[in-house]
Amino acid sequence: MQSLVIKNLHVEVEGKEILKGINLTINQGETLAILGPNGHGKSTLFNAIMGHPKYHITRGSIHLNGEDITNLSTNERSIKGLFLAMQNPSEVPGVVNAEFLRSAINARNDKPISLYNFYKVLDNACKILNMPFDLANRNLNEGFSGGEKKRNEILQMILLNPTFCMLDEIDSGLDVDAINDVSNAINQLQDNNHAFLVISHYARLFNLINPTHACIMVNGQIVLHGDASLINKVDKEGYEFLKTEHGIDIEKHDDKKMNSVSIGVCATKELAKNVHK
Amino acid sequence: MSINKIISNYIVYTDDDEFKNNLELDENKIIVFKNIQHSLTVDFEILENKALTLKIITDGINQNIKMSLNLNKNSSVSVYFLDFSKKDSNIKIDAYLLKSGANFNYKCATLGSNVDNKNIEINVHHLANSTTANVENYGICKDQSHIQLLGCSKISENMIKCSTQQRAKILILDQGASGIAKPILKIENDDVIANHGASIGQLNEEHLFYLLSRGLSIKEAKRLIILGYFNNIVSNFKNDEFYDDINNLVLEKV
Repeated sequence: MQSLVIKNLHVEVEGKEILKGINLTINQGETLAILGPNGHGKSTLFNAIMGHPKYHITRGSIHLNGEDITNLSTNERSIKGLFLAMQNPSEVPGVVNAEFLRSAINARNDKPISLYNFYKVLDNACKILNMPFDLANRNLNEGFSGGEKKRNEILQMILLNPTFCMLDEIDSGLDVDAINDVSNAINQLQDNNHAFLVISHYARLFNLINPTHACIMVNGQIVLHGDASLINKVDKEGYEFLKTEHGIDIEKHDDKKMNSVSIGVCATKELAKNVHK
Repeated sequence: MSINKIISNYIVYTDDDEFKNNLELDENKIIVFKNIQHSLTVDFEILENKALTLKIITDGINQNIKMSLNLNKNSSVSVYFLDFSKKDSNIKIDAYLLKSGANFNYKCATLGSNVDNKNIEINVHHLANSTTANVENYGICKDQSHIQLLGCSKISENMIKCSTQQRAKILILDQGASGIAKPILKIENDDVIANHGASIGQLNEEHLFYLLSRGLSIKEAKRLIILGYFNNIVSNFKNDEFYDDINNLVLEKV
């Protein structure tokens, strides 16, 4: 059985420590729901696992099937079976979606896929997602709606068939039908050969994909780990119970201070009031 | 793929050809400038209500080309330019919008490698009311190459209701490469629509991460991104019977 093991992971972004000692293990066949308030390190965890150069691992390690991949390049991690469906997929001008997808498939095969076979698997994947085929011939995510971008992420997941799939708010921006299409695609891969780590703020997606475990990330740490019942608790009660039941304070992020230079709109209103007096 | 294999459908100018300035330019033409070692001056007159599409591919060494386009009433010229020339290249195009309704549209992608030194200058002269122009230059600098993208769109004091745009973007891929982008506007009256923009920078880190996260090597990811700049131009060759040849040529060069 393959596993992804995170040990005491500390990650900094632009000199600020975001992750403060994450310990996590996920095995094939499992689906882990990752919950937590905004800005507490969930996306940072995924980006660090995938090897984003902006996220610096200062301590700890990432092991894939026993191999330490902490220092591997992003593309090597991908080829070894990691996949990140991004919260905000990049729009890459001029790069044709189909060309990119074919290159991605070829990157993990000894023999390049033939054009015929490529369009066949692409067509099948598009049908699973009820996705118009012509999106494949457009530039990568350029001008895609939010929903189209998310479908395109899942399309890539189907085509690349990774072992460990990290889905970062894959349900945001999706309408009801699209959530059903995306969850159907996830369901088809939920077997003993795959594992899912899923970030979402909504129980709706989790109800459709039935996670085997759930955890809550707060203050850059995993503070609670349990079964799927944790999802319903958070959905009903929010995160207040962390304080009342477990004594965990949720750090508030500093509000950004107002810019000392005003554009003068308020001043203009005040001035107008004074004039009318 | 050699450019020689795909030139049968093109007008090809080389050092050995005697250039004729009085071509009937009222239909689509694809022009390949190949291995022109000396300065070549080309003047085109586009007659009233005529539309001309120039598809230019340069593939020679030390290309030195000067082109003047004179546009009459309601005429238009679209230029799609793929530049793979080597070493020292100087390319200058002046579009003279002589009468109202004249329209000039220009898109170019140029690739610099080794120690290439390229100067591309595209000037637009709005010499009548209600004339329009759009200039887009893209440069990709590899190795120790240097690309200079210049251009000036001028709208004189009495020319109203004109619209003009100058854009220049340079992508620097290697530490020794360099670029200069100067898209200039000289506007002498208020009743116009005009904008310009320049950018010089390295590969977008997020774009690169996205491609790498799908398993592409850095080399392949860079190749796709560079190809993207050329696709912007090549897409205008799509309806041509030699589209596949052009596409293959670009794939080989990039």
